[in-house]
Amino acid sequence: MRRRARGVLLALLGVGALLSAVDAQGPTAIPRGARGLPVPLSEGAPPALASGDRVDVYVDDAGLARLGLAVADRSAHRRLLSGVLLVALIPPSKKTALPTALLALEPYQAQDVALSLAVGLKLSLRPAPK
Amino acid sequence: MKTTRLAVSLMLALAAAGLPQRARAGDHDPFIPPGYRAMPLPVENYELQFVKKGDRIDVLTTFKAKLKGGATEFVTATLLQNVLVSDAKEPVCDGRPGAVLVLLNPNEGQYLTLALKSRKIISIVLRAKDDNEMHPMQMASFSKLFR
Repeated sequence: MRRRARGVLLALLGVGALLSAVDAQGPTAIPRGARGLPVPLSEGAPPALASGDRVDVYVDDAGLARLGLAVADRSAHRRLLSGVLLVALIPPSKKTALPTALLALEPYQAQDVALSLAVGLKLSLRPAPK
Repeated sequence: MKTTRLAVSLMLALAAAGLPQRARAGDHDPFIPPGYRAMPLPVENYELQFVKKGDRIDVLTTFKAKLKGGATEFVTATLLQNVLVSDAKEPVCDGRPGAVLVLLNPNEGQYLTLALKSRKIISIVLRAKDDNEMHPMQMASFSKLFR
């Protein structure tokens, strides 16, 4: 009888430990010193991109031109950042029309990207070359 | 039979142990430490997806700054660092922003109010768990970003 009770107790403790482990591995595992910036992806998320991948962040040239920051090749996208850690990627849902990426950035990079988003520039991600 | 009773009692005891915490989570009168103020901060829905109660965030603000020659330029500054999120609320109806409830000292509360009332654009960034370090930050501008 005692053995069965102990079994039940151990099973309950096991479930508790499993639940807390799942919680700890949530989508906001940002490295220490970095800042997690949520970024809506106007061009959608590149296929086969997953949490933990490194990505390059591009800004659209039409938006830059609108702000008087045009570059020579308008068809190109200006690369804002390289080799950024993708912490999490959330597909479009009822709450948000666009997929959203959580990027781990240096604090000054987070300011740069927040500035770009605040003035209406569209950002896109591409897998960083390995 | 006795084992079943024991298991049920154990589960009830575990559930009871978790009750006070759950009651606090759903409470509309959140716990505010002495000397702090709780302030609602509207955030975009895409930002809200990653924020939860207990997270620490930095608050950034974007505004048009006047340069020396009289021209204006958009800049982004880190307004507040290491702010505790006391609650996160989804929008009541579609098309409206959600909100996070942040705990601030009175001084920080004034700065955030100033930014909100002067219609500055507010962004939030999440911090790593247990990362409480604060550093002075230079403002970001396009003249520095695209030289």
